[in-house]
Amino acid sequence: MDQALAIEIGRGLAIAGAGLAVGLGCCGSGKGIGIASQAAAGVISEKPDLFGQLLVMLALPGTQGFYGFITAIMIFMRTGLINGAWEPSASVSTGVALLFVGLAVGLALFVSAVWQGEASAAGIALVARRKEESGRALLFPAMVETYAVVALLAGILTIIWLTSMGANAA
Amino acid sequence: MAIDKMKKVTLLCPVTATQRLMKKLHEMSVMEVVDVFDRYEDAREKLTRQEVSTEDCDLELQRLNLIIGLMDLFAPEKKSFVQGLAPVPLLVDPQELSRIKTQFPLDAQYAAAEDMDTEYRRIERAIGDTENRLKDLRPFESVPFPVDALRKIQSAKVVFGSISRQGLEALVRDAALPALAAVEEVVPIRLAGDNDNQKKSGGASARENVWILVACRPEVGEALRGVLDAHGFAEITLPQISGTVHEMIRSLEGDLDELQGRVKGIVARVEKLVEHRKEFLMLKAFWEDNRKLSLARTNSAHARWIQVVTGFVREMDVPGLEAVLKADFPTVTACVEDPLPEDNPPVNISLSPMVRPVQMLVDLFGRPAYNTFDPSPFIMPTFLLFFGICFGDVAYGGMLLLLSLYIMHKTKPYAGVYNFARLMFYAGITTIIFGFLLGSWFGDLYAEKYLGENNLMYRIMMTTQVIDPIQKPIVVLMAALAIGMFNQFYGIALKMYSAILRGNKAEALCDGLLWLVILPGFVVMIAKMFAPVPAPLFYLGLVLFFAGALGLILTQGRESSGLAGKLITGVISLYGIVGSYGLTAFIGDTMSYCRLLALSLTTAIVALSFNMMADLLRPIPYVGIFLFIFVLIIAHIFNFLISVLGAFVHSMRLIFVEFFGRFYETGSRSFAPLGFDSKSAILHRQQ
Repeated sequence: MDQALAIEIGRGLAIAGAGLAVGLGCCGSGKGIGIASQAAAGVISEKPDLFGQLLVMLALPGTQGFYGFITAIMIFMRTGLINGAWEPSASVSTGVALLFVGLAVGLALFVSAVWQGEASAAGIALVARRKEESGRALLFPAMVETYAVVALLAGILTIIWLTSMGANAA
Repeated sequence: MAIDKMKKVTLLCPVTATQRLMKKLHEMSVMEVVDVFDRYEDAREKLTRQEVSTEDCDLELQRLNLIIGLMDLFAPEKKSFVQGLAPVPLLVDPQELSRIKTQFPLDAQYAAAEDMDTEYRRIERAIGDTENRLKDLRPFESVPFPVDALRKIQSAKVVFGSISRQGLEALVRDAALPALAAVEEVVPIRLAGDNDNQKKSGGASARENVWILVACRPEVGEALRGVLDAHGFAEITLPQISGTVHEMIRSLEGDLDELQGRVKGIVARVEKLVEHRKEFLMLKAFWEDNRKLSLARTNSAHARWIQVVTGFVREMDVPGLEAVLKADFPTVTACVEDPLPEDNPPVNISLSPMVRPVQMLVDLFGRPAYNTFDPSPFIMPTFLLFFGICFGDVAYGGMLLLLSLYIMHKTKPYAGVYNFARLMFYAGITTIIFGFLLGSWFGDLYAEKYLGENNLMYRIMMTTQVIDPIQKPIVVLMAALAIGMFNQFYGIALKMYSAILRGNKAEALCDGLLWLVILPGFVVMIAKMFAPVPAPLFYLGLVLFFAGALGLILTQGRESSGLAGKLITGVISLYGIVGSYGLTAFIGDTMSYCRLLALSLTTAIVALSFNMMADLLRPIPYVGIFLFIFVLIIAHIFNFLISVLGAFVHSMRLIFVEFFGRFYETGSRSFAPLGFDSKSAILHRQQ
């Protein structure tokens, strides 16, 4: 295959991966926050003083959107879309790998954000009944987020290794 | 700086002095009163529970709730977004409260509020009735004739109803229509802004309904009914009113306006009440407190002459209490004893002002058991370390410092918010330190393309930066895991400390020290798989691992029965299914600290992405530089907020799950001495 064409295909696949990561992450965050918001709105209508405590739990599922964004930015940076040129060794195989990295990270972010929204809603119900349990209630959604953090970290490291490996091979 | 020692105190006083004694205890706020019968089960036969009426408090609270409810309905307190986020209780100065209790004309204010409430309810009912009538009349507003005129016709039967235009045309042509009947279409009157009139008039399509009046001699009524039904006629019962519906609607709308005007009058009167909102809230707090004081008396019990009040007092407060009793209540006898474990003593923690903010984290998880120790001083450095790494950015740290200083300045009397702000102040310092070390200043705002070549920020960054987590993530990951590993050892050491405090040296040795022997050896063996390890260190690791493993196998099954059972439990405990810890738990907990790198990268990468986005606007002629600055400000405030949330939650989680899991025992309740107690207010003496 022509080298220039291979680079273009590789870059395109990588950018598609970035899109999947940020798109799925943001969709999950939107759904997660929506789930938590429905629970919080009911509580705040009865107990407006809890707004501050509930806002934190509402915001938690929002981080996955940013993790997706970070994954996308890392792909953009390492494929030269933002700074400089696509790594000289870039190939279709690297592009395919980055596409699947983006897809896998995006899926992990999507599912964890939705479940974090459910966990936040459960925590909100707990705080509505027992205000003093807000610390422990915050812990439930934080536990779910662990796996979004692991996915993000794995994604970042894989992106760095994949793109560095290609450059070294060149 | 620890969990305060408690004493069990039982007071025996003459029945006649009980009320005065309880008031004194309330004023001193040193004794938590508990149920006499919970402590002295066998006293049930000899003592009678004190019966107390809270009727007067309930009545006052009812009156105040009516006034406050009215104010909240018509003139709610305006709160800023920040006040909504962190509502603070009302500060009640005892002297001011005393003045209000005696001088504030609550009766007159209540009478006025009750009048307003009664009038408002009456108006509300009238508005509801009027709106319902209007709702019923609206469909017939365009009926052009006075509806009572139909009822006055005696010689003929007149029916009003609707039918499709097609049906009307067929009805008029129908040969079966009795000769003594007449049908006439009712043309609705035109109303301002009513487009539906067009449809009801002659211009309507064949399928749309029109109104008709059908008149007939009474004797052909039945025959006519059959014909009408055949053409889809639907009779409409007009409202029982005089004149036209339109006139009636205008009249009712006038009434509604008048009622709304009266509501506005009530709102204006309520706004005058609002001037005394603070007084009402203070009085409410006073009566809430009084009610709780009365209810506290139900925890005491009495015989014919003697009242028994029992509870807990901090050891340091016992001499003060005894002195007051001796001076003011010479007939009262106090029995002071050490609490037994089954007494479930409450926990009060005294900390230096420096460490006090961290107690908030401990309270979020749950107070420590009475016979253990307060972990606040021990978690302070780890929490701040984790927070600093996760949020590490010099500029964000500076923002956090300034914001927390401002909140501390504004909220000094409110212990909860003040301590949180103080914790964030400390966290701001570690954020700045790690910002310097990781080279993050609003991400990479120091870059040449943003602030020019060799700018001051860049020069400082180059001097202070130790490592760039974006360029060398593996090194930072290893550092994060090393922090996690040492934090696990730290937790095990605290477990040993806790066991020694309880006098359980065997637990300190078997469940603590042996893990501190095996785990470093295990780490060296794992490290050998990934990196070269000097031979002496590797052999030392092997020795430590096997010595620790042997010790654990021999001791972890000490509570199992039979030699085989003890050994099998000991072997399995190494894995972590049974026993106090495990190698898998160690690996899992240590790996969890990789989030320190992930969150550090999150803060930095989002910041540098925002810088890039803002920079895209800079080339726009004339306004580019302003847009660049504006987007930078908004974007970095946003990143500051989401990153501070992530740093707090994940640092807290590492403390709660990975660190507390090693040693911390919770399950006690907070010491709650009898004293001023209101849901909405706190006592605060004016300086």
